Amino acid sequence: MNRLFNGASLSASEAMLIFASNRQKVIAGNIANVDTAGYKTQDLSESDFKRQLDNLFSSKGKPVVIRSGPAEDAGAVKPNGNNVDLDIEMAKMARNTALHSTAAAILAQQFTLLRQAIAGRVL
Amino acid sequence: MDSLEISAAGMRAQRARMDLIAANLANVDTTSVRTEMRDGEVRHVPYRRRIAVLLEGANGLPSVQVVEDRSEFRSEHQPGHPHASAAGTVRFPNVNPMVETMEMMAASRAYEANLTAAEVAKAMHQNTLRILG
Repeated sequence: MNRLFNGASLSASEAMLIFASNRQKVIAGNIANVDTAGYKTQDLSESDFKRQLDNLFSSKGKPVVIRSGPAEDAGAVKPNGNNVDLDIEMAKMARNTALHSTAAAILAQQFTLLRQAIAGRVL
Repeated sequence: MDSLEISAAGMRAQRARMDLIAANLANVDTTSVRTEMRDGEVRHVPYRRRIAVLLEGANGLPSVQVVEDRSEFRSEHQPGHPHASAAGTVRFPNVNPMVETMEMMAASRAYEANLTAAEVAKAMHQNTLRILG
């Protein structure tokens, strides 16, 4: 029973969902600050997320806190010290949305499978 | 902080910027907002262009600061103008309609980007809700 609900794939898609919605927050902040003097583009660390997934699948290691910091793929620094590139952020947002809907679809599918297992028939 | 709120703050900042651009354009020919005494003569002071400077405020959200453009006024020789100086010079606002139009395009583009971000956040919420079946 424990394996039914605490499997890594369920928590992995949950982690993916949380990562995508947090990243949306960061991207929204970048877009909101597109003209803010001195603002530097922020992003969440993808390698931290990867470590989090690795820990989930190997079920060991401490919980990983995904750090946010200056983005690696920021645009050129404008005269006011700002380096937000609207096009990069829009593209990142589109990719992030795709990640989010994928995670949501996988999670929904996993719950459907669970329901089928509980009912003992194909719903 | 919710991502919708962040996008709303971005839209608010761009709208404030747009308000100032509209005020600048509306006052492109306002030759007298007040008078001052200089060298024993009453001089009319034209409208001074205002610009929005966006600064990083609380929670990493942009906050708008209104500053005056310190560049020089445009001077034209129009002795018949009611606001002309004794020498016949009229000072016009330091507003350049071309610059304002460009600023307007930038503000509108940034506003749209924030709007798109808000719509994406909404769609993501919907997607999450759909997990419920």
